[in-house]
Amino acid sequence: MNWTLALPEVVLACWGMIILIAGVLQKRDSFLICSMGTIGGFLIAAVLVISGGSGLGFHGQFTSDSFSSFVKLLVLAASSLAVAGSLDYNAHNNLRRFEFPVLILFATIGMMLMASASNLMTLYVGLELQSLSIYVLAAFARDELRSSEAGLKYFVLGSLASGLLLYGISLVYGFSGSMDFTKLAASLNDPVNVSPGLVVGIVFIVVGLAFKVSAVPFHMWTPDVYEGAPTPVTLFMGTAPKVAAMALLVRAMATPFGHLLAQWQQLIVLVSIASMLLGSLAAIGQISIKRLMAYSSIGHMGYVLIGLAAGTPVGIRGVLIYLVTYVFMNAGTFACIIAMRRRGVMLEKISDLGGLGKTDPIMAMWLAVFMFSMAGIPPFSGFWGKWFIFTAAVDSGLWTLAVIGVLTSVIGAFYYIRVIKVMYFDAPEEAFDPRPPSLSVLAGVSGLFTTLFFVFPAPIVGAAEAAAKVLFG
Amino acid sequence: MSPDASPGFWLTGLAIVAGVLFVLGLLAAAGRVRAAYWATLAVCAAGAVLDLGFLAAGHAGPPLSVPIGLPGAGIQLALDGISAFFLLLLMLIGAAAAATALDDHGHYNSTAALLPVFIGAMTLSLLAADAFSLVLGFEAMSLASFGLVLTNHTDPPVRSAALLYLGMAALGAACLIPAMALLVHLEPGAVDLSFAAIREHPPQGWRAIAILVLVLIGAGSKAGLAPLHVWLPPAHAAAPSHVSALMSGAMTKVALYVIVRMLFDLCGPAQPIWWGVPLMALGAMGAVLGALRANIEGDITAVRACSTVENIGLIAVGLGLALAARSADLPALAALAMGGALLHVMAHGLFKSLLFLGAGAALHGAGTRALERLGGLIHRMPVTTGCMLVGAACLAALPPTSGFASEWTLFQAVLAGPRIGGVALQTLICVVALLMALAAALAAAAAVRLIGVGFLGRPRTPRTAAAHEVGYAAQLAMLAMALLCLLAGLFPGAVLAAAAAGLKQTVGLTMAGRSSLLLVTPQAGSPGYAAPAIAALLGLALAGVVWVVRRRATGGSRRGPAWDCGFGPPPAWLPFGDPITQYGGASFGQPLRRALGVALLGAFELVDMPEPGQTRAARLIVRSKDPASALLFKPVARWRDALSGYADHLQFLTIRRTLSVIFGVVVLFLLAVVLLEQL
Repeated sequence: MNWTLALPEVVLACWGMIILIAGVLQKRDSFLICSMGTIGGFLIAAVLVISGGSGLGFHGQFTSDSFSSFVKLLVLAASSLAVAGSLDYNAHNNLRRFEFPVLILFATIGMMLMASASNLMTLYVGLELQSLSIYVLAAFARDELRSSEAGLKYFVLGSLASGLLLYGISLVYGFSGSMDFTKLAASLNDPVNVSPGLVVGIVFIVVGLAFKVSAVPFHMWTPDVYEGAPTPVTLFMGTAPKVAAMALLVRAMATPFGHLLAQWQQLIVLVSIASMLLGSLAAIGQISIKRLMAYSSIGHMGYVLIGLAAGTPVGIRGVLIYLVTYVFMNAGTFACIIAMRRRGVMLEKISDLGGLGKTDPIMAMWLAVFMFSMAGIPPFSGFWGKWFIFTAAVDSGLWTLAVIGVLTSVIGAFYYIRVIKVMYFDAPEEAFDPRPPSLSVLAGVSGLFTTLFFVFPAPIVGAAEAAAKVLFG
Repeated sequence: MSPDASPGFWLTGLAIVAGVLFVLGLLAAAGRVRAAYWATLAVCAAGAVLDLGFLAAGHAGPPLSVPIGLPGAGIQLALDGISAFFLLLLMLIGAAAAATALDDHGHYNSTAALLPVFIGAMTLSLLAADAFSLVLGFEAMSLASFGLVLTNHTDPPVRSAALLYLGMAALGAACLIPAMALLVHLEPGAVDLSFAAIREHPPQGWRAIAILVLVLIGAGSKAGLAPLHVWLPPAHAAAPSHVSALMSGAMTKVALYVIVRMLFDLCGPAQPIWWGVPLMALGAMGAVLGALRANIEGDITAVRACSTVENIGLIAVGLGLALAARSADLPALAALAMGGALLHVMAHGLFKSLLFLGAGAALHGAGTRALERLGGLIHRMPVTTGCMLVGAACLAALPPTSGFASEWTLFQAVLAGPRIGGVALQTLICVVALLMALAAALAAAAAVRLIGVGFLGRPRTPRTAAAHEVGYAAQLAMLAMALLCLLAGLFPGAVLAAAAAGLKQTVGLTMAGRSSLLLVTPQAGSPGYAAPAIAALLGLALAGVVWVVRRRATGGSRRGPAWDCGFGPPPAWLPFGDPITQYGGASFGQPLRRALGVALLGAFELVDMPEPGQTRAARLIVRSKDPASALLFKPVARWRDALSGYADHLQFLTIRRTLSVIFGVVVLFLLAVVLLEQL
């Protein structure tokens, strides 16, 4: 048993306990110090992930390879961005509680487990650790009706999804006799072992995971939870868990069920088309920018699923690159949304951005960059994400998906550009409160990444390619 | 180096021109506005010279690969007869627009960053030799022009016009990109987006039909082809005049170029005859609708925008006829129709941008674009009025102007058209010919209304009476465009010679033997149209009339009060009577409005007559609505909102219903899997 493979998770978990104990024992306000400690923990974990070895541990329940490292690094980066984004918001909204970063930390451990899962049980445990922390986070502003409602809604629907997933796992186990990814893959290689009950199990697993990535038609929780949860939580939920759940879906579909591509590919295609269409259509009429982002994330997950539907290393490479670009542009956009505050009151209507180009040109510029990037306009990173996905789809002959993807991107461009129009061309509103430096840094870092991705894409493309190859042996 | 092995001097030069135009946007964004306009002017002029050089001497060489853009593929640029022809027009209009912008002290500063980018994007669309670059250029063009339309964004009508424009651009992209995807040969693993690869596998069957429909919607909406022309009048009225000049003169032509490139070149010649029918039918419809609206609109920019719809319709008829004739294996007729269309592309591009620049001058000098507030500008703005007269003569297709030459050629082609196809197609072509004649007559009326009401007579407001001429740069730009219009009218053969390579490429035959510098004929050896001779005769006749009038008339002239229909003496503060009582734009258009507008445009008028004894003025209020807007756009907008609402509605279900939906979907998924297993 090679437990050192899980060193990043172990260290992070111990570090989380220490922060928790320190927070409880500390009499003074310890939100800031705990947040900083959390980001520090993420950094240490990232270093450990980079320097860690690869192989199978814990009797094949835990795997460490370039795919899991890629996803873990991305998740750690996204979680750090979320903690950074919460610093100012929580201070202003009476949420300065040290539990906040600790919950994010434990959710992150769950997500790292999900990335490394090579057994259906590890998969479930990781997913639950992540989900339980996020249920609490969504309802973190407990005195606020919308936040509590969001938490409850997420909890009820999330438990349903967990139930479906668990049911699927039990079916798969019952019909194949194993929960281990490698054993499943070996046994399903032979068509004789593929029974209808197993396929039903796979459908349930797909449904449970589709719920976590908020793909249509399991997206019902997304807009309400995005809108109701405190904005830094929305930032977090929109980035890291999406990456982890998508990685999990990719690994589960590619490794144990890779030979059953014909069975699940059509489901993924359906879900992907529905997500792209609904994401772009429903966003048109939105007034709240948080709801707009919710639909936008649904649409983006639709694009990512195209790469999975391709079922090839090129497709998975596209998925990973898209997730990287998605995390940064999403985090940057939410940093700008958190900065929308006038006389201490948080704002979230699109019309509140009126005249931002005059009152705060820097923030308007970054938000415009993110919107252009989400719309998929070159040379921003969003375009390249789409490019890698669509070419993968074309290479696999999934023309319908690629064409629908382009079509919905064009429809989507309409509402992203509408935000830009509001910022630059509508009558100026009163200026927002001065931006806190944490958000400026967050928006700046994400914005620079989004803008300059096309200059040095090689390291990320190379890493994604290596990660994708692992899954296909 | 042999000319066939290298991309060629002219192409390399024009590629640099496009690149420099994109960079110039940054220069302007850095605050060097005048420098940017000067540089744009110089670069466009250089581009025009390079393009002329190519047309005179160049060969279409291999494409030039630029190592930016898609990994592995880059951007491929090429220059051939058809793109060079459109590029010449673009460069000329670009130079004129930049010169005009130079003149407008401070008003046009905010357009400096996007104007060169707009021209550069159009250049990229024309030079593109692969599907990606074409779409990239086309979309950059849409975005840049969207920003330019928003220049006066403090006005709410401008914002709503821009939003409509953006929606149409999105629709265009949503159709054009799938059309390109359908054109590209599907070979998993090795997708080649270059035009050369596409030409080797022309589409057939349903794919070809889908491409036709998508191109007609995608590029047709940008060109202003009916019924997707609704965005055009508000967007042109909203944009600054030099931008409108570029949009109407050049951008609509770039869209037509995309139609030509995709339908004539990339889809190959083996397409059925009926391919020309939609272009002809939509073109004829748009021609009548646009010309009629040009007689009703009250804003001189909107009048011009409507006339753009008319002229694009005429060009589309020519293109449609050329497509049909090419498929029917009548290359001589196809060349005539295509030649007429290209001639009209050049003519319309030149005179319409001249008219828009003139409208900008009127706005600058007289402070308004409303026809009902202008009048008498000929006294205060003689240069502008002279140029507008040239443009309006082209618009009205009076010989020997360029408008006449091109419409004459188009009519010759349409009148020879009934040789194609069966009875249905022949009947259609006859109807199209009739509609074109109606449109031409309506356009002439619109031109008379424009000049008569706006520039002749007496000023209707004090501001107009105090109008002043625009600056020298803008005057020079207008004069240069007017000169080009006159030259294109006098020597249509020269324009056809410039289009020869394009004609050869698209329909396989040039107008050689049927057009020379002095004469254009529909068939070799038959009588034709000799513009220089007609101009000389008309000039002689005019000189004779002037001579006779000078000899017989009494010397000197005197100005007195206008005849006031028998009313009492005018008040002291209006010694020449109230200019509002002049024949106005609404009154001029009334006969046409009543005869055709009520049925076609749902026009109605409201007379607000004060009670006896009241001193307020009587008012004639005229309203009309475009059928495309009422029958197509409003229902579509309603469906869109309803659809968006339904999609959002899923959020507001109770938790029980949500759970039921999820269970339902799971069952559906299982059913789908079972079905797939059975298959």
